[in-house]
Amino acid sequence: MTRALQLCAFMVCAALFTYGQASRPVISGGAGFIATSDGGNSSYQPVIAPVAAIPLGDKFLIEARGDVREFIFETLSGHDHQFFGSLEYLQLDYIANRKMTITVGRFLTPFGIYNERITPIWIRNFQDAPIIFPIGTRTTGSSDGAMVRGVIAGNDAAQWNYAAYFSASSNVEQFVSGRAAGFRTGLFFPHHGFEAGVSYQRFLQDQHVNATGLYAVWQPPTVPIEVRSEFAHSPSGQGYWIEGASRVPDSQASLIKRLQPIARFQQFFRDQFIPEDSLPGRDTSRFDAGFNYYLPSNVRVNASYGRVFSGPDDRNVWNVAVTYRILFPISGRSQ
Amino acid sequence: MKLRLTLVFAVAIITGALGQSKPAPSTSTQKHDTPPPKDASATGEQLYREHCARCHRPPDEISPNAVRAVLQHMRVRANLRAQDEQALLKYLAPGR
Repeated sequence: MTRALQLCAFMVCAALFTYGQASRPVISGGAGFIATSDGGNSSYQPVIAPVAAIPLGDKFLIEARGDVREFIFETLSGHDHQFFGSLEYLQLDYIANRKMTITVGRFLTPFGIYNERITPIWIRNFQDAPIIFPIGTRTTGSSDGAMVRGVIAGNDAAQWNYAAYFSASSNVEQFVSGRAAGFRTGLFFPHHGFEAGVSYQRFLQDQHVNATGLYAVWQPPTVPIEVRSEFAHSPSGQGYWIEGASRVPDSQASLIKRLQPIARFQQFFRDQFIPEDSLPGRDTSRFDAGFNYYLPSNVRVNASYGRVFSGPDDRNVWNVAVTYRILFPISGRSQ
Repeated sequence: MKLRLTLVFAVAIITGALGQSKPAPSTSTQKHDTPPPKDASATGEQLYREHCARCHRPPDEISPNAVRAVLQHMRVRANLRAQDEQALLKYLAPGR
């Protein structure tokens, strides 16, 4: 609690330091309400995941994201609830140039694309994370340490980007992370809407294990669809997911074009059993389909149906969510 | 077998993607007999489409006061150049 107050005080001081600068601190992020039926078990989650971005001049930036949710679930005698709060990142970035940004603090582990790019509640197409998400992101999806990232070489048509990091082990509440090192590197062709890359993580505590991954994202310029996919391998097993959707509609889209069909298929194949790897105990396949509907004022309705194929654990999963994208500046003098 | 399927899948996606060479037409530019001037806002729109829209749609409304910090945040995430940030600033907050 004391640590949380110290962090809040630090961020308020940083915000005050930037008062009157051209770059105003911003509170962003997402909020929502998720209703789930997983194999007949219903649960409800009000969620708020605020993001703070505090620029300190043109070269330094403090970023933070929290996730606060109440998990309300059915019991034999009615309902019970449990509170979860987590700090997903709190980092200081030094933007040296396009080739290198140095980050220290707590940051999202750069493995594949899902963890860094698609996890925000108002961005993700399916509220359930892919089955292979724990591969390469142990233990919490966040790392405590240092990271360098940027573009090794590139121009308007192509870029070779990278992110490399080292994380220390931490058991401090809100800063839990594993001792690990790794990188992600990819080739991005902006005019083709295509990116592909590889990821690697060496987990350096307890049992040392390697995790490797491949990813691809494709938004063909001439066809209004988008495809994302990841493959990951670890001693626990390997798997992949592939997700397709129509192109995200812009804010001027007609009422019908605001509807975005979505679908995802994924498989996981279990190899060794490793305790606490957060992966299914047996081979599992899952198919999900649904839609997003974008309402005015940054509100989105998201619904999906999924079928899990996992031997005796076959089941249906329904998700309905309403999400809201938060975005407003912290007040300051007009420029 | 699984590895072979993965490789075939990866090669198919890469081949298909690189076969698509025609950039998408701009949604806001009007029909011109001659190509429209490549001003900063047009570049900003293209940058938005190619970099930002990979993950999310534009906000319905964005306060000009919020744009700079958001762009700095995304400069780290999406490996944008300083001049890209300026072009996007002109596109998202024309008055700034």
